[in-house]
Amino acid sequence: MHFRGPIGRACVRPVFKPAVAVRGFQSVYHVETPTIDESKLENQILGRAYTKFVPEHGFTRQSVDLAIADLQLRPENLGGLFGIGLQVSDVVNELIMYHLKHTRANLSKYHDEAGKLATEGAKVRFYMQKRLLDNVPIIKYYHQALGRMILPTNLGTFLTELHNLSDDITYYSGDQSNDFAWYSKRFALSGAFVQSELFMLGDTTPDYSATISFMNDRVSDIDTLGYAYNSVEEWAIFNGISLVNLIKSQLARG
Amino acid sequence: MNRLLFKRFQSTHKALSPAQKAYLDRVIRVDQAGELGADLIYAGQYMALSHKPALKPVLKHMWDQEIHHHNTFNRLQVDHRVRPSLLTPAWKAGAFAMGLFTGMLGKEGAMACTEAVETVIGNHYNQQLRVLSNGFQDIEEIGSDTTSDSADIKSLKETIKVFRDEELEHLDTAIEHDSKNARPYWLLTETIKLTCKVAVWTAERI
Ligand SMILES: [Fe+2]
Ligand SMILES: [Fe+2]
Repeated sequence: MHFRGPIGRACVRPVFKPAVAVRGFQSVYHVETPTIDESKLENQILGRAYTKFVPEHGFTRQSVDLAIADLQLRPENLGGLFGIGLQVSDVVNELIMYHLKHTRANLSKYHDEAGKLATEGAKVRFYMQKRLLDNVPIIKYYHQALGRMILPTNLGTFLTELHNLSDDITYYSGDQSNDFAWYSKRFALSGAFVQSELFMLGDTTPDYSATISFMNDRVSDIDTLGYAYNSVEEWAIFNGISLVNLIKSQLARG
Repeated sequence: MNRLLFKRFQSTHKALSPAQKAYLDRVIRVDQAGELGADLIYAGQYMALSHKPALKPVLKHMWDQEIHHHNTFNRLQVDHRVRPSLLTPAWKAGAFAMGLFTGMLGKEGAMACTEAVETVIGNHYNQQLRVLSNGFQDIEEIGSDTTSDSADIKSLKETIKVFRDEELEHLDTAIEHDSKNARPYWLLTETIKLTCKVAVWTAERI
């Protein structure tokens, strides 16, 4: 059976999915899948396109084509790699996702340096700064990439990756939260990151110092956030207990 | 802390399957929420009943064990990067209220609550131990064809076994302290059992 029109297009369009949507249980005793599997040909192509051609040609099909030529591969043999027919939008999505994953994976290079910092907040800021500055080589084209990320069909995938980023940063920074603070920290960090990226697009200061200080302000707001939530909770419990004691004393009086 | 980062570790076993990871994720999340609940149930009961000298050490002993269970799963949740239950504020409030309410019914009420909770939790832990034995037999060691439990799986099983035994001790303690004399016994225990089952189902997922 062969469909035409929108149904047909929906059938042949490869579904754009992240390789690992949910991280789940992690154990040091078990091998983990790497964020980017460099042994896969498509990742080699994307990697070459990203490092060598995206800074010149942006997140485009052209960058990928140049990378394929650069690797001396024959495009006609690559049909199956990025889904059927190398549809432009999907290759571009893959390239943007490569940027996000590559820069996130990069953070693991900084653990030794981060380990010297004293507080969790300082570590969060340190990783945030490293991650933001990794946008610099492609910053010219980043507004295009963001525009694509927020398309309704792409948003879910890219939000998952954003959550992975804030989850990595909080974890690397030594987060120990066991309750709702776990969520408030991560959501706040995702928010601060997106705001800082948007700020960065218009930043003209050398070394992006304005972006970094903008980010530092945002993060000091959230520094207290997990703490603030739990304080509210403790306050409620404390008042609950006082109320119970009040009732008990009233009942005892008869 | 942060074992994944700072012990540059040589893995001993091949990757867990996505289904196995998802299962372990749920195990840690629901057990953490459950032990949080147990901790706070005893906090509530202790508040209501600690003025009774005969009861105080009994409750305190069980409460201390629950605090240890709770801390253990908190540590596992952080180490294994498991998301805690989103509903932790609700579990805290609900469990504390349940402990306080049953405690205010008196000794028998509190013990009936413990009996009901530990019946459900004992079964729940047994169920997990069954899956951890049957569903994790295929994990190969690196560099050999033999399958075995990795140190993490082994210690998780051990932990659950020890906790299961302690929960069943709590169940015995509750019966020794006249849980069956609570009125209305049937309504109380069945309501609490049902509540626990719904909470387990929810905390595994949300
Ligand atoms: Fe327990
Ligand atoms: Fe218990």
